[in-house]
This record gives sequence, C-alpha cells and structure tokens, in this order.
Amino acid sequence: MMPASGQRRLLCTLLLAAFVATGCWDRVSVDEVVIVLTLGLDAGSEPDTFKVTLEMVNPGGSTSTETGEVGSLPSAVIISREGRTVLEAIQAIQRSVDRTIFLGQLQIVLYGEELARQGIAGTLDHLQRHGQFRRTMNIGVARESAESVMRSLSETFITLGLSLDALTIQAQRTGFVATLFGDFIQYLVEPGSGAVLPVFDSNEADGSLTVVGTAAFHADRLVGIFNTEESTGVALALGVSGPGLVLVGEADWEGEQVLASFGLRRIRSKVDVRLEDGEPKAAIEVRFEGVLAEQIGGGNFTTERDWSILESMQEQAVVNAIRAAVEKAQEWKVDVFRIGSRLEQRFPHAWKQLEENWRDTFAEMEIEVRVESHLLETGLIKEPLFRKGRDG
Amino acid sequence: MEKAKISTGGLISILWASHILGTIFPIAGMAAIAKSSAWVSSLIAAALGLLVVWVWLAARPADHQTFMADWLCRICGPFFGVAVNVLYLLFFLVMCGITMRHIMELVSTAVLPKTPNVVILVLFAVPGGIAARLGIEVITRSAQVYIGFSLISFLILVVGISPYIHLENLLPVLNEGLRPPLVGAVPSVASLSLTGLGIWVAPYLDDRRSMERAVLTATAIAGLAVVVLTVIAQGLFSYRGMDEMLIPAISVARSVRLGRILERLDAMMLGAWLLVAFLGKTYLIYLAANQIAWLGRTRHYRPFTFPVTVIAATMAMVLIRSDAELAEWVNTGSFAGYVLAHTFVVPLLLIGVGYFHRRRARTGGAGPGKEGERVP
Amino acid sequence: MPPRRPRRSKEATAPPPKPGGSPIPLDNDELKRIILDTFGETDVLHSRTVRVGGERGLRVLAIYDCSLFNAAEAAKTVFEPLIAYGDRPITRTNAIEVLKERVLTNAVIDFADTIEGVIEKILSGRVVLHPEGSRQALVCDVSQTPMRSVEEPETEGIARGPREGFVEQIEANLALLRRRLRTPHLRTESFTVGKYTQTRVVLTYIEGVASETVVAEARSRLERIGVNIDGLLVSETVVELIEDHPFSLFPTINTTERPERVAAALLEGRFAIFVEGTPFALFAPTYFAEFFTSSADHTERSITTLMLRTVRLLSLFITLFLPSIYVALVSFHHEAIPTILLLSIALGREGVPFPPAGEAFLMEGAFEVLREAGLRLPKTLSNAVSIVGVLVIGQAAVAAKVISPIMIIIVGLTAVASFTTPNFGTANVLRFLRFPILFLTALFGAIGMLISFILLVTHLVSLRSFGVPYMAPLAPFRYNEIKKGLWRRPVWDRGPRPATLFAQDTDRQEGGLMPRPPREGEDGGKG
Repeated sequence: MMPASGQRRLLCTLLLAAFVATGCWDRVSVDEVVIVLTLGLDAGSEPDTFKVTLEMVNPGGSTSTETGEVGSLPSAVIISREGRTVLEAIQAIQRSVDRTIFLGQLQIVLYGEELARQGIAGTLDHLQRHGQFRRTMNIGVARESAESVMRSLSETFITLGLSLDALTIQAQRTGFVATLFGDFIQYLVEPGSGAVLPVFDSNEADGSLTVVGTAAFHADRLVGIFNTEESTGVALALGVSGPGLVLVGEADWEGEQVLASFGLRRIRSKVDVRLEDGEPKAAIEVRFEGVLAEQIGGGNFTTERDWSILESMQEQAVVNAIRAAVEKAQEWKVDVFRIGSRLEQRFPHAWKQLEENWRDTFAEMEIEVRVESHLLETGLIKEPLFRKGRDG
Repeated sequence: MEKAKISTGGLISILWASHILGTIFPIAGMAAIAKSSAWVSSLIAAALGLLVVWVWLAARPADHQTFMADWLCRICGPFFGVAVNVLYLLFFLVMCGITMRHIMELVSTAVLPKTPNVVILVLFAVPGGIAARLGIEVITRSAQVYIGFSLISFLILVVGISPYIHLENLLPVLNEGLRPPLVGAVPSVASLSLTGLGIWVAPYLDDRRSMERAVLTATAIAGLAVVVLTVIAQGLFSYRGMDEMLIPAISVARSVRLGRILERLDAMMLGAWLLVAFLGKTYLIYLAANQIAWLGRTRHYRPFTFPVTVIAATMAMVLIRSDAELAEWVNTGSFAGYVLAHTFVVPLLLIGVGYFHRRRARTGGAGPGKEGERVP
Repeated sequence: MPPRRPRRSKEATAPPPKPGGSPIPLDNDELKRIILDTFGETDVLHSRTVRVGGERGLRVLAIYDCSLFNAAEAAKTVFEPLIAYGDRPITRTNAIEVLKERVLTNAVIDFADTIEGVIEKILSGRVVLHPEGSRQALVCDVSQTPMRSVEEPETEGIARGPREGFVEQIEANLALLRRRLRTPHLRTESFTVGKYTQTRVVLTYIEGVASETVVAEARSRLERIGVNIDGLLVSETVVELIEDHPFSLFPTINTTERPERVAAALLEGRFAIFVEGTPFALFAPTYFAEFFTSSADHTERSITTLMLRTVRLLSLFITLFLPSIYVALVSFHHEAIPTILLLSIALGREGVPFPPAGEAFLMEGAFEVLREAGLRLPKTLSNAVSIVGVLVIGQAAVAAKVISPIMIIIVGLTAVASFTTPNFGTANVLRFLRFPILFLTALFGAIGMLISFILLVTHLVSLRSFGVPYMAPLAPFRYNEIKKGLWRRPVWDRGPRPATLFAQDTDRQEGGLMPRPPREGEDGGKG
C-alpha cells in the first residue's frame, strides 16, 4: 500500500513468499476436527490412573443413508481410554479417531462419582492450563461412573453435551445448583474449601437424563450428595437458584392439612457472620417474593387476615429446605455455604486461628436461618373448588 | 524533529495506549504480594503514578520548543548529555522489545498457540515499523482510531462481567497493614510512569499547558484502567485465583458471559487490546529512531525506523526466554527498578542539577545556556 | 507553446495583446491564408468576406468551423446585421468599435489578438470576424455542440430532492451551479488543459469562504498540468494528475453528478473543478467518511440519516471483513462459533474439497467475474448473466458439494453490503481490498485480520486531501464535526464550518434557528 521502491517491493514479496511457503500453523478447517461436547473423567483400572471418556460429534459423518445422501443429523462417538494423566488418555483416544480432537466447544466436564470420592486434584490442572478449556464451561458429577452414564444416554441423546448444558439451566430453575468450572475451582481454593456440583444420572425407568442431587465437595473430594430437598436448600442459601423455583409449603388450618405450591422470585440471600467471644456464628438470610401457584385444601386465604398464613407457609418451606441442607453439610463437615470465606473477609485475624480446625468448628457452629418474604400474587382464583375431606 | 502538529487528545490516546499492556500484566503480581488488598494496591499505584509523572513534568525543558534530547545535553553538559541520551535510547529499545514480547505472549497464548513466536513478532513488527516511519502525526491519528475500538471492547468487558463480580472478594482490606499493597503497587507505578515519555514529543503540541494536561490525563486514565481491571479480576477470581494465573487479563476476557454468542468473543476482545499495545510499540520505535537521529546529528529519523524495529524485535526474542520469566520479571522482579531508574531517578537528578545550575547562575557562576531564566 | 495563464475575467474590454503569439496581419487575405494553411486539408472550415458600409466599404472576413456553430444563430446575429449596416460610414480605425457597439447583435463578443487566439476561437465554435486593416479580431459566440438535456443522475439517484444532474457541457454545468449560488463571490477560474484537446477546466470556489491556501494549491496543481499533457478527456485524468497520494487506493478527491452536492461542498469551504466533456464535478478537500454520505442524507430526517449511515458503516465492515471473519472462524477459531451453528457449518462443509479460504477466494472471485460481466453487457443480456450466476454458483455448486451453503450466504451478504457505498469508485476499492485481507486471514486467522486492519488504518490516517487529514473528523478527533459530518444533526444544530477544512469564514449560520413556539411575553411573530 505504501509507495515502494523496487527493492522494498522485492523485500516485501520475499517476506510474503516466506510466510506462504511456511504455511499457516494454526489452521485446521472445521471439517478436519471432531468436536468434543462432553468430557467424562473416571478412575482408571490401575491406581492413580484416569479414564477419559469423550463424546465426540462427527458432523454428518457416518449416518449415510441408502439414498447415498449424507444424513442431516450429526452422530456422536463415545470413546474411553486410560492414562496416567488426562492428556495422555486424550492422546490415546486421538489414536483411534481420524480427525483432530477439538476441545474448544466442550459443554460440560463430568466426573464419575467414584473418582470424585477419591479426589479430582490430578485432573484439574490440565483443564485450567490448556487454552481450549473455558472457565465458563459446565461441570458436574455422574452417578457411579461418567462413562456408564454417558454410554447409557448416548442412545437417546445425539448431542449429549448440548442436552447436559441445557439441563443445567433447567436444574437451576428447579432447585439445584449449577456451578461453572471457573467458579468451582475458585471455591475449592477459598478458605472453607466447600463447593457443590449437580449430579447427573440416567433414569432407570425411562432412560431420561436427570439431575438427581447436588454433590458436596471439600477440597478436591466428594463428601456427600444432597438429595432434592437439601439441594434446594443449598441453592436458596447460596442465592443461585433461577426464577421459577417452586416450593411446596404445608400448614395446618382448622385441623385440615393444607398444601400450597409457591413460585419463588427475586431470591436474594447472603451469609452473615459474626464473632461472639471468639466463637464464629453464622446466619443465612434469604429474602424472596412468592406467588401462590397452587393450593390443595384450605379456604380463601386471599384476604388481608389470612395473607400471613400463606406467607408463613412459604417461609417455612424455605427454612425447612435450608435447615435440611445445613444439617447435612454439618454432618459431612463441608462448608458449602462458604462461611469460611466470609469469616476471612470480615475477620481476617480471627480466621487465621480458625483455619486449622475449620471443618470441626463448622460442624459444631451455630447457623441461624432467617427468611423474609412477600407474597405478591395469588393467581386467578380465590380458593380451591373443593375442600379436602368435606363434600368431596 | 519533523514538521508535525498533534493535539492534546491525540497525545492522550498514544500515551494511554503505550501503557495498556503495562496495566494488564502486573496485576497478577499485585495479588501475589498484596493478597486481598490488591485493589488497594492498584489505587495506590494510580496515585503514585500521577506523582511520578508530575516529577517528570517538573523536569521537562523550560522552553516549549526544546526537544528532550537537547535539554538533557544542556542540563548535563555535552558529554554526560550524550551519555544520558544513549541511556534513554537503550531504554526505549528495551521497553519496545518488552512490549513486543508482551504482544507475542498474548497472541501465542490466547490466539495462535502453534504459530512460531518469530512469525508473530514479525507480523506485528512490520506494520509497527511502517507506522513509526510515517511520523508522529500518523501514530497519533491511528491512536485516535484504535482508542474507540479499545474503549468499546473495554465497555463490553465491563458490562459482560459486572454481574459476576462478587464485591466480597475485595475483603478483607489492609489486614496486613499498608506495606504489602505499597510493595505490590511498585510494578504498576513503574509502567504508569511510562506515560511521562510524552514529553519527548512535547514540541509538537501547541503549548506547555496542553502538554501537562495530556500527560496527567493520560496517567489518570491509565491509572483508572489499572484500578478497574484489578477490581474486576479480584471480584471475579478473588486474589487467590488472580495469583494463580499467568496473565489474569486473558482469563478476565475469557470470562465474559454476554449471552450465548458474545461470550466466546475473547479473541476479538484481545484484538482491541492488541491494537492498542501495537500503538505503544510503534510510539517507542518512533522515539528510539528519533533518539538515534539525534545522536547521529541528523534531522531524518526515517531511515532508522526499520533498523530500530529489527533491533527491538531481536531484543524481544533474546532478552527473555519464556513467558513465565517475563511474567516474573514484570510482576516481582527488577523490571520496576529498571523502569523507575529512567522515569523517576533521572528526572529527579535533572531537577537537582537544574536547581544547582540556577543557584550558580544567581551567585555569578556561568550557567548552562539560558537556564537562569527558567520559571518554575 | 508556453502554458497559458488562467483567464481571470470574462468581461470583454479590449485587453492588451498577449505576449507571445504572432500578431494578426492587417490584410484579410493574408489572415485567411495563414489560417487555411494551419488547418490544412479540412472541409469544415469556412470563410466568408462581407463588405460593410456600402460598395467601397470595409471588407470583413468571417472564419468559422461549420461543424461547431449554429448556422441560424450565426445568420441572425452576425451576418444579417453586417449586411443590414448598409452604407453608413465605417473606417479601418473605428471598425472594431463600430462593429461591436452598433452592428453585431450577438450577446457574447470577445477579441482575439493573435493568430493562435484566432485558431483557438475557431476551434471552440466561434465566428471570428476580422475587419481589414485591424490588428484585432472580433469573436462572436454562436457555438452549438450536440448537447444532452439535463437528466436525473443515474449513479446517484435519490428518492426525494432535486433531479438535475450535470451534463457534458461545462457552460450548462456552471449554469446549474450558478442557479444555486447567486452570489458574486462565486469565483470561476478557467484553465486550458491538453495540448491537442484544449479542454476547458474550471475551478470554482466561494471567495471569502474557501481557504485561500487550499485554493492556491489547487490552482497551482492545475496550472502544472497545463498543456504538458496531450489530452484530457475525462475528469478522472485530472484527479490522477492533481491528487495528493498517487499510489493510494483511496480517492482523495470526491466526484459527483449532482449540482446541489457541489453547491453544498462550496458552501462548506471547498473548491470544485469542472472538466469539459465530463458530467462529473470534482470537489476537494474531502474526508474518507464523505464517500459514505449521499445527497439523499440531507433530504431525510436527521435520525433516519443517522440510522442509514450506521447501516452503511456496518456494510463497510461487512464488505471488508465478512469473508475473512468466516475464514478465521471456520479454519482457526472454532471455539468462537456457537455450538449449534458450528455443527451446521461443519455439516455443510462435509465433503467440500476446498479449504475454507480457497472456497472464499473462489466464490468472491466468481462474484467479481459475474459482476463485471453484468456491468459490461447490455441490460437485456445482463439478465442472462445473473441467471447463470444464480444457477451455477448458487445451486449447482452447493448441490455438487463444491461449495458449502454458508459460503453462498457470506458471498451474497458481502456483495449486497458493498452496494450500499454511495460512491461508486470507493465501493470498487473496498471490494478489491477484501482479497488481501482474506489472504492475510487465511494465513493467520483473526491476527491476520487484525494486521490488515492495522495496515489499512495506518494507510488511511497517513493520507491527506489538499492538506486536510483524510480520516478527519475521527482522527484527528473533533466531536463537533463528527456531530455535523457523520451524525448529521438537524440543520439548526450544525454549528460552524468544519475547522479541518481551514475555511476562512467559519460562521455558518446564526444560533437559535431551532423552530420553537414563541415564549410567553415574546412577540409571536406572524403566526
């Protein structure tokens, strides 16, 4: 573009030629790669080895039909190999795949439960170090082993990784905790070292992909799995549940059992810590707005007088869930509420003493649950058409 | 030493640009030293940066039309003047080499991992040489074009990331006293003080005042960028996470979550930063070429731009062996000392010598040239 | 022949004889012989001798080129009055005055003092009258050349606004301009360019508004061409001879077919150049951004214009970078594509033999070929080309798995985007530029794109148009001018003339022109 003399032009041409001749190192066309959507990590058959399972999508690869036309649906291949390191295992997989393995589109990393219980430290480094892994990818635990879950589901789900990714969003709306990879590793190194991950399984009855619980990690080990109610408690305490979470509240009204479903919105929560005589105390505060979505039994509560019945029902439901979670967490001695972090932030000097025996202190400490809520709407009708136990 | 005229806004753009990589590299070091007070460290860095640049401004030529090289000669005498100028030539070359190395590391880590480093270096060096050859006006104007892109990308970054920042990560503040944040701020102060290099092109500006305004504003903006970036990085990753990363800025860019499409645009984001880093490099090439021209007593700096580019590129390859070494040197090593020697110690000496000369002039001794007339 | 000095005045008072050039002989026949000798074998040159003032009266020689003149007008305004003069007295000494003041009814009368001058006048279609015994000749303008009527410009059509466009006649063009700028400050300076073509080139500007240095620079550049060139047939030749950066791809002089656009440019303090025989006026200094503005912008609402210009800016980026973005994403940065899209792209690429970059080169090249073919063919045939293009490139190539479907979308988008650039020449440059960018991208992915962007910007900011930075008002950054030039704020808010144009008189309009209802206590005016 510049006005150039003959010599300079020659130099430019030579440089260009040099570039062209040497080629382009990073170029790999999209049809020369195989896109990995799910990465499963299990314990290997030998001690201290890993088994890596990759779900790889080969777009339009092998599903050619009789008409000779290449099928319009991508097909997935699942291959597992073992190795002493993650990369060694991936390289072993590469030996049986004719295209370059590409991890940049990885949707989710699944840890087998067994490996998670043994400790996942050895697998984390590569996931952090290698540029193709993103901090924003999902991470989860598969019941028993990642490989078996992936294999059993691959029949139904053509692109399992995408389904898992979408499911994590649904999981967040239904009372589970989804943690991104970057956040997960950050929580592990924080004081308290507790973190949670969703647990996936294939439903035995219908083969569907299901979120079955929330795994509690301390440092790099899985310690326990919260059931559905406890998971909701964790999600509420951490304030990570998406809008649309439904909780069922119970109440006794005029000797009658009343059930009501509440849709929860604008959930905000915080963990408050304080020191009393050197003893750490924590309070989980949750504020939310609820919508009455369903009521079985009971009468017309949509009056000013009985409004509080509904509000206390929804508050009680939340308190119960969180209490259940807190009890389990204390039983397992896993600080999933990141109380340790709060303590370090607020009382850095006291934390230095607490740090050593933190798990025991956590198990014994007093954790208060405070809930404050407003009931905003009650829907289109005032009361159930029939009352339970009466002219039904 | 060319016929050119630049505006205050233009100079601000280049100076800020020439500093951007300095802002995004040393924050990991801040976290390592200052722990959770890293963000305080960045505030301190911004303040100290302004102070150091202010010293620079105090040491600048008394007369608006005088070039820095001539001024050094006038203050230090012909022999030491040349020596100091050679020192600054080397400084420009080294800084230029480091900037090139920074660019190379960013590109090879985040965008083109398999491409040989030399190729990346050449790729960015050639347009740098061309732009530097075209003169300060062209550099300024390109700065004004790029700055828009850089600002937009920075805004996207901040907007895309802000919902995920946990401000609790900024706690606890100063739990280990003021010393760690002060120490942690030093590398950033060093790279902030580079904006003082603006006085090398002061004569192209309209007057002395606009010079002051440009340098101080540029430093303030760069300081603000350091603070914002540190707060973002610490809010996202907490200081432990920052400490672990080689280049936190890349991780920040890779953590942008703006819907399903924009979240993977970190390459574009880095692109805007690279544009700006490229400018900084070009500016340093220009300064070094001018310095050589001055030492060779010629008015034509153009023939020197390409040799300077080649030398700086070679330095980028030779001086530092690996990205880890670079990061360590910049974050915790002697980098700060090396830079501050040129941007803080020398200006202080200049002020001192100038003061001495003035006193001697007042008591009847022979001052250097017309120094006695200098107004503080 | 020495270069001609510009003729500053058109007022016909007998000027002193020009230095140089051979004098006109006193004798009619001598002059006739010289002229006929100069022209040699030609059958268009006619001469006629008329005797004015009775039988013993003065012999007046008329010489003219009958291919260029209007015979009816010549008869009516020149020959009829000459013959009708009858026996009234006329002498050799007062012949010129008498003819000019009392006889000839022609409106435009000029003088020629040299043989060369006479020849020039004959060549421009005038009737040259030489009274016997005079050192001067009278020149009557009765020229008539084939002339196209004033039509709507084809390349710069707009929906609302004036529908006049320039034509090939410079007089008509100046008339169109003068009708819009009725001010004595509108200066028109004529130059004659081309040794053989003797083309008239007119430099216009508004005195007191345009910068004197800029105009002087333009004048000196035009004078430099003078007759050092054999011919000047189109205005682009002038552009190539006077532009600031002959090696640049980008035009630093704007062209337009629309009189009101030239008028607007002059009002902003620029100058314009008209070249005889080309219906395009040149104006400068100009900015890069100006090639993306159109006359239509000023007939739309301010906000609409902002939107349209945003679309054009976006199209500029699409034209330059879209194929490269595709190549960079598909062959380097797969992680940046949303997964579903990546899968569908990969599906489309399956079985395609070319790498993405090759594919892009192939298709963009094919598009250029088709476009060129469509442009060169007559309208009736170009339809055939587009059908072939659609079938061959669109359908068959995809069906035969030579090209992936997404590539067709990319090429289509790029092509359509390139047509939004209002300036034809710039659009061509931009379309060409996407090939080098594509090349660098094919080598280095996004970094290659970045490097090409850097080179492009470095080149653009190094350009100047008659001393005015090409990338103004973006670089150097001037918010006020961005507001006016790029954003096109409403007229009442446009502020002073752009400072980058060095206009002498920067005040453009009074403040407070924004229409508003009268305030309380204020005179409501006529409404």
